[in-house]
Amino acid sequence: MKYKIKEGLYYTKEHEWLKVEDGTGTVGLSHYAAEELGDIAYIELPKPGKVTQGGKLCEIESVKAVSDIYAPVSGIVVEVNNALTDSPESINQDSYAAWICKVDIADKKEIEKLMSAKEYTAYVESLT
Amino acid sequence: MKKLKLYDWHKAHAKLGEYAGWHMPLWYSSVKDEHLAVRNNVGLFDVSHMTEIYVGGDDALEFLQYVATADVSVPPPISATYTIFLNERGGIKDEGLIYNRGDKYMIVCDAVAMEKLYSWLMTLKGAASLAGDLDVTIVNKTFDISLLSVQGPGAHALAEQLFSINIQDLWWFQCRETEYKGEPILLSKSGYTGENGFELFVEIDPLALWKDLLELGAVPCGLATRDTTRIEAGYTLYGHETLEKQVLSQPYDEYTPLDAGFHLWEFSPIKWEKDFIGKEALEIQKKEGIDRHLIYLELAERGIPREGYTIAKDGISIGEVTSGTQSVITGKGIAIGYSSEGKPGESVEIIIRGEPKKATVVTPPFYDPKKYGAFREV
Repeated sequence: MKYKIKEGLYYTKEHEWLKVEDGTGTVGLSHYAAEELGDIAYIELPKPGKVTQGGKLCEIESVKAVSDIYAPVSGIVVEVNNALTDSPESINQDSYAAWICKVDIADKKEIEKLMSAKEYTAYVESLT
Repeated sequence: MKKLKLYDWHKAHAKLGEYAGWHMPLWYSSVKDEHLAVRNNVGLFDVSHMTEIYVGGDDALEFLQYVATADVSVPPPISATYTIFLNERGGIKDEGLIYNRGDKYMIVCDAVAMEKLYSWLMTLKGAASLAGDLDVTIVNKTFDISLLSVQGPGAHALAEQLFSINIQDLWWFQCRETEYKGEPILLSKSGYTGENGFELFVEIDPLALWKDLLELGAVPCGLATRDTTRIEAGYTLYGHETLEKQVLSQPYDEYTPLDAGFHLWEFSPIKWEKDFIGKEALEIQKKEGIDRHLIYLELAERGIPREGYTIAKDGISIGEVTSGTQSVITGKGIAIGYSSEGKPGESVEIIIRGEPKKATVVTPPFYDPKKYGAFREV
């Protein structure tokens, strides 16, 4: 497997990861997503406020194209990683360190709809 | 999907994507690294998806003079002429190069319009034949010919080593018939990146040649870098700045070479002194006035312009972006588009996600030509 999939995180079919600590979820993009996008040149960070699971969170741009990032869970965006504005390429360098935002999770039950690292590995393999 | 002869090599080394029905390498390492290789050293592109059409026969020149806007009667030694192919409305069928190879002409243009251009030539040939005897043969050679493009300040050293040809002695678009391992190949001083470089037309399996070029230090570059380098150089691309529409929703809803300003070039591809398809329409447009032009924009704020974004001035739409990316050299968002106003130095806006972002009208290329490109001060 050429893609790194970090244990202990939850994953979406759109290739976002979610790390859950208490009631707060940290959101980022998987290594697979970063590789598929290629050189990431710009990120429009989420605006603080309410988001819905599966709804659009923000936009990211590679040299080639614009892509949407979706919220893995519903809740309220409480913090964004402003450092990404100046260095969006850090997502290519380490997509698990370059988090995008933190969400105050509204309903923990929604996490059950996400994939575990093992399930996500199988999912990525089915795509390649 | 169509496959390049080097498909297996690309599949093993690159991220692949679709372009004009071809499986194409998009990037091998990263667009940034590949782009910098072209600007600072030497990059190698497999652009074998490009269309090659041979036009031969006693009346080939007469025929091409009628279908192409440029004067293609350049004498040997072999060289190429940049031209536009128009429909009767003056709309752009395609743009490309016509090489005079002595016994025949070779049209080279983008892959998007291959079928369309070929059938257009066949239709015109058929129509011309009705009017009298016409000795013209048209052969689509796209699937026989591979095209490798070597680009960057280090390109000349590779031409020297592999072919003992000094490309500094060639003028732009000039060619040499040469050999590679006993097989004939055509070397053309040309490219699409803004850099010095050469392109190789080969009918043999290009794998050994590809590997030799890599061995000599060329960095493999994908289609994404072809796009970022050509936009940075300010070059137009069929399907973007030049595009024929199937149906016009209103008169003049199609960019012509006059909108693109091709008639203003020092060596213009529009030869008014001869007859060609679409000339009448262009003359009418010229008389009535040209109300838009190609515009080159550099964003003053963070963001990346994309095709289809609106260009505005004081909140009023004045045009549209046809190509956009982030310049690897300057880090700024850059765009080519059509606009009814905007002279170099003036400020306009590009509407990105509903928000106007400040942009400056500039003169291409988007890089400093003293530091990068074919005319850099060494």
